[in-house]
Amino acid sequence: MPYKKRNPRAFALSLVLFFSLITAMYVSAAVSLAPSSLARTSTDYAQLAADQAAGSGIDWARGRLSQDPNWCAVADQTFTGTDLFVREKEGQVTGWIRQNQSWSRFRLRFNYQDGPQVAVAGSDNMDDPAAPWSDMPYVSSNNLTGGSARTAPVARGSSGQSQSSSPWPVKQLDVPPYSLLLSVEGSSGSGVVESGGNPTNFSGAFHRRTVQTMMKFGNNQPISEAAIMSAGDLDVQLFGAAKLMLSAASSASVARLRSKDRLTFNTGVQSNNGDLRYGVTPTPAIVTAGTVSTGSDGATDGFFRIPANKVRTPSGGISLDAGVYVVTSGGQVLHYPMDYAAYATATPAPTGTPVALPSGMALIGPNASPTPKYQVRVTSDITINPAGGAKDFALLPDGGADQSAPYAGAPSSSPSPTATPVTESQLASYLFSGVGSAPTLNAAGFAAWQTWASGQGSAQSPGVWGAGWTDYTISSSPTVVVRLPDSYPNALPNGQYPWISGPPGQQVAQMANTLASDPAAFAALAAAFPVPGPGGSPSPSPSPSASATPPLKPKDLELQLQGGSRGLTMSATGSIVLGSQIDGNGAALVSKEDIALIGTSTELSSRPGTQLGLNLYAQKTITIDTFKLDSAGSSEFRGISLAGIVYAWQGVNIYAGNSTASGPFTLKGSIVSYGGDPASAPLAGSAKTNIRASSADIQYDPALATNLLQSGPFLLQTVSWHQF
Amino acid sequence: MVLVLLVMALALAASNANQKGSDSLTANGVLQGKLEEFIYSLPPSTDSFWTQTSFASPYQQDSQVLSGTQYFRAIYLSDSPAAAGGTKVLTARVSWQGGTQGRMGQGSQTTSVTRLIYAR
Repeated sequence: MPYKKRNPRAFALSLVLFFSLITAMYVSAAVSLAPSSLARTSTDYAQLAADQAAGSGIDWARGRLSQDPNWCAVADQTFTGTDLFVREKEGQVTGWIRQNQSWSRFRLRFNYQDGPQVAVAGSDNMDDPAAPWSDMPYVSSNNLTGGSARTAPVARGSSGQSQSSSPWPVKQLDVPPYSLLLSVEGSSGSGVVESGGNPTNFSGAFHRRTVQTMMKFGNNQPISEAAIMSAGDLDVQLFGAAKLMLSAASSASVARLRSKDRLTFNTGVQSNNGDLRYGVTPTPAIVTAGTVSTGSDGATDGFFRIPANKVRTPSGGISLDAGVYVVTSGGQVLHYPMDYAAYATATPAPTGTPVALPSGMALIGPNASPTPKYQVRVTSDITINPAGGAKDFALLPDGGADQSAPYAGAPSSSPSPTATPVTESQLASYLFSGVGSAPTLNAAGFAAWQTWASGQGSAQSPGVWGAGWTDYTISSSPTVVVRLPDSYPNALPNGQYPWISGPPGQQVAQMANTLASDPAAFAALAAAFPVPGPGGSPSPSPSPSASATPPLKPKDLELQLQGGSRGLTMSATGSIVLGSQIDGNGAALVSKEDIALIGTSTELSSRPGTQLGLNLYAQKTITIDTFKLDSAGSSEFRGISLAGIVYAWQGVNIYAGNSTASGPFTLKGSIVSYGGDPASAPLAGSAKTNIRASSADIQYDPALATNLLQSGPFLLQTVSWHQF
Repeated sequence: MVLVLLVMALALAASNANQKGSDSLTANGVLQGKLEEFIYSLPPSTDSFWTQTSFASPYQQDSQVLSGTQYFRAIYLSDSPAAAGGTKVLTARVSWQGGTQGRMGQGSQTTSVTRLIYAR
C-alpha cells in the first residue's frame, strides 16, 4: 500500500482548533463562573457587614447601659457622628453605620408592643410606639436591677400580628434576676432610602443577622473576686446544725472568701492570712476542712474598690434634718434633734417634737396584720442634712429596738443603763429581783430616782441600812419602801440600788402601780435602768414616753424605700440607724459613719421568704443585729436574708445568733470590710468581719457589684450567645 | 490567528477576574480576622482608652501574606457622640495589590467595614 504523505498545514490547523476549543471552553467556564464569584464575594461582604452591625448594636447597648443600668431607650434621642446615626425612642433603637458606599443598620426593641403602659407580669410597662415594628418579634428585656425573674415574650401573635392589646401569650424565656436579654438585628444592603441626608430604610433586599445574648454585670476590677473580702479577721461562728454554704452565681466565678488576717470558722477551717476557695462551681458546698482549700491571700491582690467619690449619691429628692425619728403607737412621728448615741444615753429621756414628714415621705397606718402597723414610705432619694448639732438619721418605734451587743454609734462598752423597760411591771420586777450584778447608775439617773422618791411620801434617814441611806415610803398599803443612798456614788454590798422592800408578792405590783400612776416620772426613772434579758447583754434603745397603748416594736414599723428605677439612695454624713423592718427594692444606704440595722424583731425583710434588696456603704462599720427580746424577757434572733453589697471601710458585723439562740444568714452578693479608705490599698488587719448565725448561705454574685456605684463604666459579662 | 489571540486574551481576562474574586473573598476573611483579633484585645472599661477622644491614624497596621498575596491590615478609630456611653467607631481596612508587583494588574484593591465597639 503506497505511503501517503501527511499535510503539515492540516496538522497545524487541527492543533490550533484543538487549543482554541480548549481555550474557548475555559473562557466559557470562566465567564459563567465570574458572576457567581462576584455574587459570592458581594454576599460574603454583606453578611460580614450585617454581622458587624449586630455587634454594633450589642456594643451600643453596652455603652448606654454602662451609663444607666436601667436604660430601655424610652427617651427620644438622636445621636449623630461621622458615618453614624442612631435614634432612640419609645423603647426602639435604630442605628445606621456607613459602609463604604452603603449603610448597615442595627435595631433592638425593649417595647413589646403589647398595649398601654401597665405594670403586670410579662408586660414591658410602656405604651406602644407610634410606629410599631412588624418584622422583628425578638424583644430585649432589661432586668439588670430586678431581683426576680422577668418574662420576655415572642412579640408576634399566632396569626402573625405584631401588636397586642395585652401581654403576649408566648414566652420566649424568663430573664433571670439581675440579667439582661439583648436581641439585636444587624442588616446590610446596598439600596438605602435617605431623608434629609439620614438613612431611613432599605430600598431593596438586604442581609440580616439576629443576635440574642444574655448578660450580667461583672466586676471590672483586676482583683481576685470573693464573696467576702476582709482586711482584718474573718470570723464565722455558726451555732446551728447547718453549716456554711458557699457558692458562686456562675461557673465563671470561684466560690471564695478572702481575709488579709486570720480566717476562722467554727466548722473546723482556719487559715492565717486566709484565702478560702471551693474551686469553680455554681453548686453550693458545705465548708469544712475537707471540702475547701486554704492558702495565703496575695499581698498585692486588692479588694473591690468603691471610694467615696464613686459611691451612689442622692439625685435631688428629699432633704431631711438629721436626728432621731420615733414613730409612736398613736401614729405620730417625734423628732429628736440629736445623734443616736446621745439619744440612747440621755437621762432623763429627751422630749421629742411632733413633725410632719416632708413631701416624698409619708407615714402610713395603722395597717391590719400581717402588714406592719406603720410604714414610713419614701419615694425618692433622700439626703440627711446636719441640723442642731446632729448628723445621724435614726428611725425607731416608740417601744425601742433591741440589740444584742454594743455597736458603733451607741455606748461601746457595757450596755446602756439608760434604756427604758417595756412596762412598769417589768421595771418594778427588775428593781426587786435585780440582775445579779450591780448595774451602773449614773449621776443623772440617781438624781431622778432621789427626786421622785422624795416626793412620794415619808422618808426615814438614816434608813435600815444605816448612815448615808434613806428609806422612802412610796406606799403605805401595803408598805413599800425604796432605799436610796444620800449621795452619789455609794456602793452597796449586795450590788443593787435602789432597793424595794415590801410584803413578798405585793411589792412588785405595788411599785408598778405607783409607776403607772405617774407616766412622766416613770419615763424619767426607767431611763436610768435597762431591763436585760437572759441571753446576754441586750441594749434596748429608749422609748420616748410611756404610752397607754402598747408601744411599737420593730416588727410594727417598716421603712419602705420605693423610689427610683434602680432603687433610691439615702445618704447621711452621720450614722444611719434603723430599728424597723425594711422594704429595700435595691436601695442604697450610704453613711460617712456607721450603719446599724438593729432589733428587727422579725425577719429584716417584711416580705417573708424573699431576699431584702438592700445595699449598705459605711465609712466606718456596718452592724446588722436581729436580736429580739420577747415579752417574757427571753432573747432570740431572727434570720437575715439579704441581696446586695455590704461595704464598710472599718468592719462588718452580722449578728443573727449567739450560743443560746440563732437564726440563719443568707446573702446573695458580697461583703467587703475594706480596711481603710478604698482610695488606697487595703490595710491588712484593720477591718474585721464577724458573722454569728445558726447557718450561713453565701452566694457570690458579681452582678450585684455595681449596685453601690454612682455611675459607670460598668462591665457587662456575656452569659450566653445565640445568633441566626 | 487574530481569533485565537482574542480567545487567549479573553482567557487571561477571565483568569484575572476569578483571581480578583478569590482575592476579595480572602480579603473579607482577613478583614474579619483582624476585627475579631482587635475586639478580643480591647482593654477593660476602666482603661483610659475609653475616655480618649482622638487616636493615631491608623491606630494599628500590619500585613499578612496569603496565597502569595500580601494583605495590608489597618485599624482606624474615632470617637462616637459624647452621650453614647463611650463607644468608639472602628473601621477595619484591608488593602492589597491585584496583580504581580511591577506588572499590570487590577491595581490597588480595598475592603473595609465599620462598626461600634465597647469594652467587654
